Amino acid sequence: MQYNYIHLDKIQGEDKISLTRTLKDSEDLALFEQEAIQIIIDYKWETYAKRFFLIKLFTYAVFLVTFFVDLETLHGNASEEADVHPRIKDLPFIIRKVICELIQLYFLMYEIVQFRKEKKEYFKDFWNYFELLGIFLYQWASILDITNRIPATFAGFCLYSA
Amino acid sequence: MMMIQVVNDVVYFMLLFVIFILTFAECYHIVQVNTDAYGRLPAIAALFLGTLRSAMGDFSLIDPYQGFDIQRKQKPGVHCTDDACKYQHSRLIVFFTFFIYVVCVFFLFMIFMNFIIAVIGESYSKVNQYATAHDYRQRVIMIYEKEIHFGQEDFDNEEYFPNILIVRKKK
Repeated sequence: MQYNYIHLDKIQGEDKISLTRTLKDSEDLALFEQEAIQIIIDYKWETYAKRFFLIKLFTYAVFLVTFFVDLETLHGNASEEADVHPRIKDLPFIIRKVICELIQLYFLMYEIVQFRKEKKEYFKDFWNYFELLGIFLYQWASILDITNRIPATFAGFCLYSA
Repeated sequence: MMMIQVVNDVVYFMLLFVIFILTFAECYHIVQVNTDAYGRLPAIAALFLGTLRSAMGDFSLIDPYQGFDIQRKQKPGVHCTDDACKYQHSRLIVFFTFFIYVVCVFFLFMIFMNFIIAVIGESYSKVNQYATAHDYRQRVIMIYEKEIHFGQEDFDNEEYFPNILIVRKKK
């Protein structure tokens, strides 16, 4: 048996987040092949980060499924003979929109908290732009949908291009 | 065993692939692409198949019902009893077109496409050499993202930030 001791208190010091910040900003891949570094990352990952991101993934999956079902009903009842099928706004429609909006709101709050903590650093990670874009585009589509502009805009576009 | 290993390796890729195809199929559905060729299949299933076909290299460039043997539209009033007069090309040309088509599929899809896959596979194996290091680096970035949401009570949590880590290893 061999026992390895990693004195985390001496490594991380007073500002406990500084350890991960330093590791995150490191460009040297060989650093992550060090066993001690791997053990520290494994510990942090298993203790709190993994569960958190799994929950976030699950939340996003719920959003995607709801959004997908919502999009499937976009063209109304296709068996009826009409050029433009109005959006059927029944109870399931409202439930779907509320679920999607709540999840998007949670994501927006998450981004805001991240921005407030990171300040300038937030805009250096380009994935953050994608996350903001995703929230913004969903809201846009959702507003167009709720205000009934999608069939009108779509028909208008078809007329315009024809 | 090798088969199981290969299936295990591609399962996440396939999942991603299905998500991509579904996304594009849904895009096509929104713009209401014609799916008459698929008969009574629901539109989304037909479009899923269509997108899968194009992802796999679908070469049906002409009308999906007729292939290359295009039937000429009969003029009203013209009576045609001969089979050959209904088609645009002679039988020989049609056979030859299909032959060229098969040769083309063989060279373009089977050989050229596999070259591309081989190149991708090589680059993947290069990345794979440092996969563990990349994996740990990515996880550190995510851990940091979680940690900036921590309050003071989380930083004082002995379980989250212990003073010492003791790792036991079997020799």
